[in-house]
Amino acid sequence: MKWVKWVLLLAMLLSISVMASKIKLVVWCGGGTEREGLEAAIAEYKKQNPDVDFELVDVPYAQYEQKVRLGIMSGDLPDLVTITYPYAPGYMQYMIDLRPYIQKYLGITPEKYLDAMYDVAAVRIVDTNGEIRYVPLHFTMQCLWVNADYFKKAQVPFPPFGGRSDPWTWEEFVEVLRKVKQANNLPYAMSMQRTAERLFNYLGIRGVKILDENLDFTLDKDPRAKKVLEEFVNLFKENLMVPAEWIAAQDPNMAFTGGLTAVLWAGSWSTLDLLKAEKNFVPAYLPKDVEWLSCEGGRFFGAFKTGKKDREEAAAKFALWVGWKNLGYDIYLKKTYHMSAYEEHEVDYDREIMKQVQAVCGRLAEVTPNWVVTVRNSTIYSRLQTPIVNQISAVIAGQISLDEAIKNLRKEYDKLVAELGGKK
Amino acid sequence: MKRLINSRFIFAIPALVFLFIFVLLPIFSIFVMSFFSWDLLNPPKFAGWSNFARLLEDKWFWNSIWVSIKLLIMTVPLCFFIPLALAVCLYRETTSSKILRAFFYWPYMMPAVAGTTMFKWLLSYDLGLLNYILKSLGFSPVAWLLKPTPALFAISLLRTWGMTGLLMMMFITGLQSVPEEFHEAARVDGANRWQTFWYVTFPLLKNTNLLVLTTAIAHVFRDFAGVYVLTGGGPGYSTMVTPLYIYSTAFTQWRIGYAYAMSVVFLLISFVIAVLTLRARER
Repeated sequence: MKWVKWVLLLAMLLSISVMASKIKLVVWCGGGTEREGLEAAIAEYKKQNPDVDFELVDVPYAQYEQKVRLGIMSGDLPDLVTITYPYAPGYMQYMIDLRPYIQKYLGITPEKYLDAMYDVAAVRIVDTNGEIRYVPLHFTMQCLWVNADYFKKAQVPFPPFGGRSDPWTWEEFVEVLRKVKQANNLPYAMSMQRTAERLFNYLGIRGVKILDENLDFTLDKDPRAKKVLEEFVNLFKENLMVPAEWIAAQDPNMAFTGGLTAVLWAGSWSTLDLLKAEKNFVPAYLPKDVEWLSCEGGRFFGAFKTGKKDREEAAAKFALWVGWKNLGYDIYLKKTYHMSAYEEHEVDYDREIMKQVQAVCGRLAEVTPNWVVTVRNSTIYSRLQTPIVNQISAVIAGQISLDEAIKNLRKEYDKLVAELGGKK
Repeated sequence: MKRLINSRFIFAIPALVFLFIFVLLPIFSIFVMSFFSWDLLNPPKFAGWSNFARLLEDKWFWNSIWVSIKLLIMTVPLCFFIPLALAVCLYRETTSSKILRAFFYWPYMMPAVAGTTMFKWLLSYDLGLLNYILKSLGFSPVAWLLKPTPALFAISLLRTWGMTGLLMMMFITGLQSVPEEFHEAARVDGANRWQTFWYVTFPLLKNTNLLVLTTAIAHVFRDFAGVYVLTGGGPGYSTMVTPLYIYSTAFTQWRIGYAYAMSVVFLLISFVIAVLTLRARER
């Protein structure tokens, strides 16, 4: 029986050595479909790379920035992290430069890599020194969703899949909302989530900027700003938009999927949730006024600088595999029903609607100017988001006037510039 | 040394260590860090009194203090008299009392976020059950969470609903400790039920009353989860209580040092309220 002891010891030593030669990459990610998408991609990756193992750690969205900041402060960092777009610029300095690995593992130059994606996606992943710090994981664009049955009943065409090819002008769009609301006897016409991003998009379309390209606050300087904001507030007074969504942060999906509204101003990320409602929801172009644009967003995948070269390389290799078209990226997108960040990238989704989403949002990505990204990439904009939402919400609730709100935002902006030591 | 080991004091050491590490040290660090400017990413920078100077001009902070006090004034009487009334009805040891006590205690056991989410659905202007009932009865729907006063009242209601069970049990314990002879003596003297309660029972509940009052004040004044989920501080800033404003400053604005300074001031205000409550009891 002595030999049993030796066999066991040998087996133990072998397993330890196998484990020691395997690299285990720790990945912080959001839960839900994002995790499912990564698990599907990882399963395929491990078949090709059996020497790499993964540990996925869910981090709820609300705690993301706290966890990442505390991790950076304590030095207790994962190998890889999925990071949502508002936070991405702030952590670029802690991510490895992926350029050397792009040539090595994808066989293309970094320039070709960036050229392959929409400009608005490329701007997000490159730092001020031209280093590529992230790969796009899921890429999103704001768009409209319409309840096609309501539009059919109102006999109103919608662009581009509802009998009209060009986007509405803003005036046409407001008329459309009134008509569809009346024809279907709805309490409201459109749902929209209470975020600074939606407001930024609306203002951008109307030719008004919260911050200009130099990151100067312009709402109190632009003569059109107050009028355009008043028109936004009037949409609530006229019950074309749902006051509870902007005063009490009610979930806009509730009213839209519940049939209280005919239009949802959301984006490509809403696809999976809206599919579950099993109604005739179709993506549509945002209206066009002074400008025609949309706000991009999504999540990016980055590898932290850990100081361990083998781990950094393994992390970079996986990040590029999962973030490049026709490799793990397709597996991830098919699982999560997100659109591709790459132009002319056909993903074989199992749902026809995704072709429509890609067509609508892809077109919006093409027409969106880069300043939409560069302004929103700034620390000053990200810190202004909460005050913007609170002030406009207070105006809609009738608590303060628009003049007061703009004045308060100016004060907040000045405080931030002083704190940050400049416009950055 | 032997005297120390033999003394009863030694049994308090674990609790004292726990108190030091998890209560006193964090409070001390709050005081220290309130003099620094910090965003978690970069090392803290000494800022002197600038955080406190800024606090004096921060109208949203003082607004949050006023909102917290308004909530206190609205909620504490509800949190006192409703549990007291329930306790008077349910303090006798009958089967039905025991079942009802469990029923009223259940909201206190429910996780705060789950209960608040339920309330949010109930009070939704367009889709809530409460407005549906009001409309069915021919009344106009109420903008529960869309206007400042109803929103504050909704938070007050939520807090009362959540705490009634606990406070009721405190009162029951107090009522059960009142000797029955006192009630008998009052009945013999010709006092009716109300007179017995007001002149005999209620004064004997002095210590219980104080405990309930301080518990209610503490819970209401530091409420965060309920307000965060139900209104997020809105509409506008009308329900922005101080703990929520401090959280927002720390974790969305990344002004950690400034948030610490607000916490210091909030702690001092809480201390003043505690002292006033104790003084009122002594009277």
